Amino acid sequence: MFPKTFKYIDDTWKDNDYQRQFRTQQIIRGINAGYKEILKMSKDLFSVPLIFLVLMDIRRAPSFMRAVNRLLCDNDIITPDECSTRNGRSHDEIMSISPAEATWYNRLSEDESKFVHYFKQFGLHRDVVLPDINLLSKLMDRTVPDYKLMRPLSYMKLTFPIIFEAMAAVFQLLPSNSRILEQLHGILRQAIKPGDTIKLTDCQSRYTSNCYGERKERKKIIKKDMPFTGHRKAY
Amino acid sequence: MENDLLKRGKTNYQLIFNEVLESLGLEPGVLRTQRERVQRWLANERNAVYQLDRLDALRIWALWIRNSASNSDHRRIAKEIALMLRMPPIILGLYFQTDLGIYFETTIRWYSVSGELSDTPGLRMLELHLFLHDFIQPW
Repeated sequence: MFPKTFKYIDDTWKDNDYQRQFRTQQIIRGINAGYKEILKMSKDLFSVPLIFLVLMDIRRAPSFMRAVNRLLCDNDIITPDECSTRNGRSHDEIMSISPAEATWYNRLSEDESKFVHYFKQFGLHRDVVLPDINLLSKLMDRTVPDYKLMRPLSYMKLTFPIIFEAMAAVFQLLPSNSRILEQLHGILRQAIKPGDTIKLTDCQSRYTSNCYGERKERKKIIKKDMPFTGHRKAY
Repeated sequence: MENDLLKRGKTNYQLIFNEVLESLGLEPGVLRTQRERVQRWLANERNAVYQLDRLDALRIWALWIRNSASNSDHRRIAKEIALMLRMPPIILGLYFQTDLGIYFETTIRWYSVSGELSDTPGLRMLELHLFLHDFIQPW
């Protein structure tokens, strides 16, 4: 990432160590600030239900599946024996094996009722999926998959056809970007004047996408159901 | 800064720019002025690419005006432009914006092409985590 920038720094300040380090640090601070923003934006992808899409990546799906089994066991959906059979190791051993499993477990357990709801909604609790789940849970995470021979989705479709069908039934025809909002955004950007502030632009977008209407409705509900605690606290 | 010059003599300074481009063997182009925008979406990044491509031409253009203009205000502005375009921190900023632009252009393109198992662009939910781990957050 950022090849031209770092090449320019090295070329320009190759005889001046202080300047080179100073500029490099400056750029790295900027990059890290950007990464933090990206993490904030991708938070939804790491919460239920979108986190289930990890099952389409064979490099991460096995540890994710083991964490799912463990959480199912914690919620009394499956017994500890069944969990051990699925994962191929004892129930308590799972968390100590890989940090990835612990990470997935923590992310999934943030809202356990929602996790159980979507697990069932995707049909992953059905008996027909069990052979695929058993097979997937016993694999190790692959760090270097051979995607040159077969693309990731085709690989999953061929190796775990039932899990793939279950996920595809929900997500294959779901838009990955919002065309309506993008068009609104386009209209807005087309009409923007160079001197307009972000605040004004945001107000315009909220007005165009009718956010104010929703806000009025929410305010009505809050006023009806609970004592008024001020605008900020009410949200 | 460039805008200050163009406001004062658009036709003359565009003619000088054409001559500079011709002498450098570049394609003729209209001189555009840009400033840092408050927009958060690719405006500055694309402007940085435009400026980096024409950095030498803009520098020579500013020096030309610095040495040939009769008005002292014009000469002073042209000198400041030439100085700014020679400052490494400013050029580094342009390189950084360009690299950022490549990153975001790729993200936008990803949504506008069809997926591995879907013919329609914008219906690539199944690949979201693959794209996220391979490109958006590879760390």
